[in-house]
Amino acid sequence: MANTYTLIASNTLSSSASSVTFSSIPATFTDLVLKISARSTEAVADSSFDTKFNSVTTSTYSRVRLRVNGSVVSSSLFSNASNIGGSDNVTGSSATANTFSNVEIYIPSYTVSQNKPVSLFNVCENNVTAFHMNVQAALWRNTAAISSITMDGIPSSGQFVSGSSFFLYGIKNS
Amino acid sequence: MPATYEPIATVTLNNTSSSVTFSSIPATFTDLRIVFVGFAASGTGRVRFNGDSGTNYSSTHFSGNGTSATSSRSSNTNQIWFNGGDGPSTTAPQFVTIDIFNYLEAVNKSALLSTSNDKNGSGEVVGIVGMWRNTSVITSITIDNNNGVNWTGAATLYGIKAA
Repeated sequence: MANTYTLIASNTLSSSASSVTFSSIPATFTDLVLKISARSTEAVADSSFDTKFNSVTTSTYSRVRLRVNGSVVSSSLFSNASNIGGSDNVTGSSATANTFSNVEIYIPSYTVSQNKPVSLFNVCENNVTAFHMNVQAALWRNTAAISSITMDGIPSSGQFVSGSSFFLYGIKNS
Repeated sequence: MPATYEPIATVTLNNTSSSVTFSSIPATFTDLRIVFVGFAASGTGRVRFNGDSGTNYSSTHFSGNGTSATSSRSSNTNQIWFNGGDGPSTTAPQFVTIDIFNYLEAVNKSALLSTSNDKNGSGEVVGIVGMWRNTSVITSITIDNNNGVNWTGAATLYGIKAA
C-alpha cells in the first residue's frame, strides 16, 4: 500500500508576510493537516492569526476553546464568527527571541459535502511568563469542498516573521 | 523513507448502523490510528477492543464546553467514552481521532483520543487517555453509539510502522 501522508505544499517565509494562503488544493485526498511554526511581528508576547477557507468571511465559523496558561484552565465559545480565530496561537515580538509557536490544524473529510469539523492545537512556550496552549474544536458551516486555506495575522500590526514555516499535508484513506 | 502511514480500511456510515468494527487487523504495524467523522441524533460515542465488554477499561478526560473546563476519570468501565457531556448531532459532525500504541505488544494497551465537537454556540473539545487492561494483540476495534443510534459519516483505520 502507498504512503498516504503526503506533502502538498509548503511555504517558509524569507521575509515578513501578513498572510499565507494555500490555494488550488487538490481534491484527491481525504483529510488535510497543516503544520505551522510561526512568530508574529505584533509587539505582544502572544499574538494571534486567524484561519479562513475558500476566502469566505461570512459568519459561518465557530469554535470551542480549551485553554491553559500555566495557572488557569478555561473554556470559551465563539459562534457565528467570520473566521476561525487563533486566541493567542502565535508567539509575538515581545516574547523571548527566536521562539516560535507550533500549530497543528486538522481538517477531515474536506471534500465531502457536509459542514466541516476542524481540530486545532497550538503551543506557545516562552520560559518567562504564562503562555497559552489551546485545544480547539471548530466548525465551518459550509458544504463546499475546501480548495484554499488562508492564515491572516493581526491587521496592520501582526505579520508572520521571516522563518515562519507552513506545511500542508494530504492524507488519503485508500 | 519507507511508507509508515497507511490506510488499512475505510467504512462509510450511511445511517444504517450504530456501530462500525474494524476486524482482522493485520499484525504488521506498530501503532494504529482511527479517524472518525460522525453525525448521530443522540447518544454517546465509545470504543472497545477485540469485542471485550468487560470492566477492563479506564480513562482520564479533560474537556471544555465553552463554559467550564473540567477533568474526570473512570475506572473499571466497559468501554472508553470519546464524548464528554455533549454528544453527537445531525448537523455538526464530530471529529474523533483514536491513537492506539503498541497494539501488538503483550502489555496493557494505551490509547489517546481527541474529540472535536463544535456546534456553533455549543459543543465540546475533549482529550482522553484510555487504557485497556489486556495483554492480547488487538485484532478488532469497535466504535459504537451507546444508545444504538445510527451513525452517518466515515471511519478510517490507519497503520503506522516504526520501520
